[in-house]
Amino acid sequence: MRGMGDVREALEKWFSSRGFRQLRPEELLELEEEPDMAFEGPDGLAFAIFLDGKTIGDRGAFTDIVMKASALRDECHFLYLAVPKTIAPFVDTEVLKKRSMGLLIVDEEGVIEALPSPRRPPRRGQAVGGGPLPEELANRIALLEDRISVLENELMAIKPLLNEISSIRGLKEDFKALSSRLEALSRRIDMLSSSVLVRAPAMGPPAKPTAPPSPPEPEGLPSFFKDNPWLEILARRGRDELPA
Amino acid sequence: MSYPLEATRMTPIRRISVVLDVEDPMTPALTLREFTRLFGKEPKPPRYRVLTIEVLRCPEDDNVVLVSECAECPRFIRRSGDFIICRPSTVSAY
Repeated sequence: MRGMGDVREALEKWFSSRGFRQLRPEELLELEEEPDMAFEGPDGLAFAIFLDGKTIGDRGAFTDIVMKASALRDECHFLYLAVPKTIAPFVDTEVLKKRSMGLLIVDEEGVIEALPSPRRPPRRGQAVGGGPLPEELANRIALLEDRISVLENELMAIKPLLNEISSIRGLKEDFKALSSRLEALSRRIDMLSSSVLVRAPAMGPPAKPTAPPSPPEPEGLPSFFKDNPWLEILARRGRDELPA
Repeated sequence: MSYPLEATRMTPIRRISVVLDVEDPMTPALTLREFTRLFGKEPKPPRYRVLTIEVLRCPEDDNVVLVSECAECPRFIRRSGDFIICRPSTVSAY
């Protein structure tokens, strides 16, 4: 069985063969849980957590390891559980795969990557470094502050308009009342006109225009005088020739 | 150190729950189902203890082995759910 120092050495060797450099604890940002070993490489951060034989027999220690792994998964690109070979048959890789974790089996002969850890970017950026915020972020914050002050000024200018809008709302109510009254009147006029149209045919068809009254028939005259068109013409003769 | 490209072997693990009578060592170890069927009750402590044993048939020699014994085998790769994944015997280790 390997000691903890041997395990560290074997892991460092394994990670360095893949281009990773071991990080010192002061090189990490403050984390809720600290990994047993941390490495930085071209593809990002890799954390390793040890699960030894004693931890398997201690329920509290085992729960602690599980909680640590859960907390650290969002802080690095690769997360590995390093176990000695004696307890490897009890570690279910299906569970690790579901949680995007890898498994390293540490043996006398070295380290075997039984399950590779998938690369997953950290949720809140890289946990390495620390210190002041980058300049780009500071510039963006300054721009946002300027925009906020402009918006505040515009809001102050808009406030007086709110009173006017409320008075317009009152006018709108009046307009609605007038509109409803107008509709009622319109309906009433429609009803009246329809009732007038209904009554008119009941009174019968309109009387035909009467012919102009015919001149009285001459009485006591011979029959050729009756309906003789020449009679009127002859009666007018001589009147036209009179001097005006 | 790398694994061969040959298809690995997946051997199913069998879980057996065994009831132990700690007061009478002569009582045969029964499976939990058999104990419940014979005695009509659940085994309760402190007299009875239930152990769950994980075993599998080793594809190398067809012997029944404990899952923990797989750690001693150079062909062992990993456990995945209720299966042990190991290298085929035709390939020499490493």
